Amino acid sequence: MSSELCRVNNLTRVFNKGARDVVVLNGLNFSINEGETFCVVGESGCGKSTTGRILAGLLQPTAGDVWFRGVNLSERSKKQVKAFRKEVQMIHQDPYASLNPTRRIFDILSYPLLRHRRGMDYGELLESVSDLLTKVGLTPVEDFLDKYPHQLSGGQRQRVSIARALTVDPKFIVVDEATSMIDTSLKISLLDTLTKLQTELGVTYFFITHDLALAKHFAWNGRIAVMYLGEIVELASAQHLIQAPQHPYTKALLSALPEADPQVTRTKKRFELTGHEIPSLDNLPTGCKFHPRCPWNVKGLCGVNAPSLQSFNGSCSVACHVVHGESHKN
Amino acid sequence: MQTSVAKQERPLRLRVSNLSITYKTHRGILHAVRNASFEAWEKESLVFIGESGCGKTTLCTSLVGMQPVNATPIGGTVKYFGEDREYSILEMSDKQLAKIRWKDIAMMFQASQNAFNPVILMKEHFIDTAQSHLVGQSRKAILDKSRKLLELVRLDADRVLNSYPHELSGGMKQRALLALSFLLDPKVIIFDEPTTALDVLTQRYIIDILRDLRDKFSFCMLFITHDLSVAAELADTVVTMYAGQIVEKAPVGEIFSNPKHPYTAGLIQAVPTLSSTHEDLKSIPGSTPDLVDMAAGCQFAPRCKFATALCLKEEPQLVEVGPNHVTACHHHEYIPPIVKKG
Repeated sequence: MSSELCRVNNLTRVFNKGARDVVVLNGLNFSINEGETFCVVGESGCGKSTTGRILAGLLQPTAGDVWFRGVNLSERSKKQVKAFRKEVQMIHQDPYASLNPTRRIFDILSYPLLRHRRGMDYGELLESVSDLLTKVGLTPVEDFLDKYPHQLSGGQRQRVSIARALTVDPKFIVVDEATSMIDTSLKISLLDTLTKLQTELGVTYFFITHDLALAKHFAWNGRIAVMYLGEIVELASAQHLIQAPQHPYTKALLSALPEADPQVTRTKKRFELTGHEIPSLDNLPTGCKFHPRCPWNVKGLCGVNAPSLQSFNGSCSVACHVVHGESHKN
Repeated sequence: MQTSVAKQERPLRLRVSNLSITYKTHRGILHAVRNASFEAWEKESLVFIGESGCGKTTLCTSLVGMQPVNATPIGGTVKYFGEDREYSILEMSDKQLAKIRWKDIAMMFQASQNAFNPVILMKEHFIDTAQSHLVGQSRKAILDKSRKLLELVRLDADRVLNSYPHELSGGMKQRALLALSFLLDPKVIIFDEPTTALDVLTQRYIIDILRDLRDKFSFCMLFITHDLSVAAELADTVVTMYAGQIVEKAPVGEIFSNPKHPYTAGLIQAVPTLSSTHEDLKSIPGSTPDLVDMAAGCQFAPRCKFATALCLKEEPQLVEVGPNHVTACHHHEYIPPIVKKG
């Protein structure tokens, strides 16, 4: 269980916007163990989807390396690329854009099977596809096989996306906000399906979401990384992060989350930030990127030096000068 | 939580009685809303919860006569009570409806922040809206009011008014639209999932703004969401819909601690919260029923652990089970209260 599946070293990604460079990921370091759930949370634009796409091999890093099963992704042979494609799958965020509109659901789900498991006849294909659709709750199966994506709702499309990722029995799945359009009750049962695959087959997940409560549920025994403007600001086991957040940004996110209990949610203690707008990636703040919104901001320190992700109390990693006591303020 | 006495002191804004709406589909008649009745008072916030396809959006769009073209209201009435007279929404022509839409009843659709015209400045949106309802207002007067409203939703008014929609972030557009919906002082505002596409901090921000604005302008708010935590934040009264029917309606504190419909109870137990543990969550088995070829009896019965032979035969009617608390369940007395977590 504890062997390392995937590691990123100093992962950096820069996009070009006209003549300017926009740094979307800035020197990420983490590793994911086999059978683990690694969850990433953060606001839009923090780089969580970009990280996921690089891990799935859909995007090349500008600098830094990604290692998968001890092989550097940029130095793979053709054979290793094909094996990687079968082992690593991604469930995309937008089910309106990621399903081919001219193909029926049956075609969408049978194509990967034909590609990676040659020699299946029509009966076997139909059986596998029906199994997949049942797994994600699209029943009765006959109603869906011949439909086109435009005939399905957002939630149904997301379920087709999930089924498609499961077709080739992957070992590592990048799940990018895959349940955002699905109703709560079904969401929980789909996530339970994914968890079941993990216990049975040892699948590893890289789970991207902006919902901390959902992250906590799905990554119960795993870890959560909180990202802000291209950097990890806190990384800890899921339960620890929710119960004892250290970084001011994590505290703000947790205290802003509405809860499904009127008494709890209306009396919740807020962690107030000093700024509401997330800075533009074009024009990033100097020093700690969070300092313009941070109530703990120390003049002459936070705006000048960028803190690095360091272990704190042996239980989590935090990137914050104040947490690490590098200032006298508490 | 409000008492019924407090409710009666405020004017009634909306009364929906026995409203039924069907869709014509190639498979037959789809019963999207069946026999829905509710009232909404000034300053009240009514939150509709339920899974997708339960009819909450159809119900709320019909309140402004904006239901899809293939939807036909087949029975019931929708009454809106304005300052000086009452309107029967379902009997009004498009021309008459256009006069009260946005001015009396405003509606913010799902993802409607993307509905701004991309080629005109934000200030033109405000001016267009005001001038189409109030003839003869000067641009300056409209812009002054817009500026005040934009400041209320905590935006930099001058920057926003002189921007094109694409120059604003999703959260800013959402807030600008919120300001725009208050421009003509509507008495009722309908929000369809206004916070779904937003980040946690922006969502929190919009919830806070909505609460402030409601205290200030005392409008009546109908809010559609599938996110129960947003309902817990904003609602005075929660309305649960299932398969086109209102199955439960109760004050927010009551419904979250003591739901009397198994579907509401199931929804509450399926929401992950920060204090819940991994084992607490249970999904509701089964899937939503077919609304074309409807089974007899209670629509929720096939998914319900309390169901008996009676449920499969006879459809339950809404009965009163507490102050302002109604539910449509034959076996409501067996449903245990929600055990507080943590």
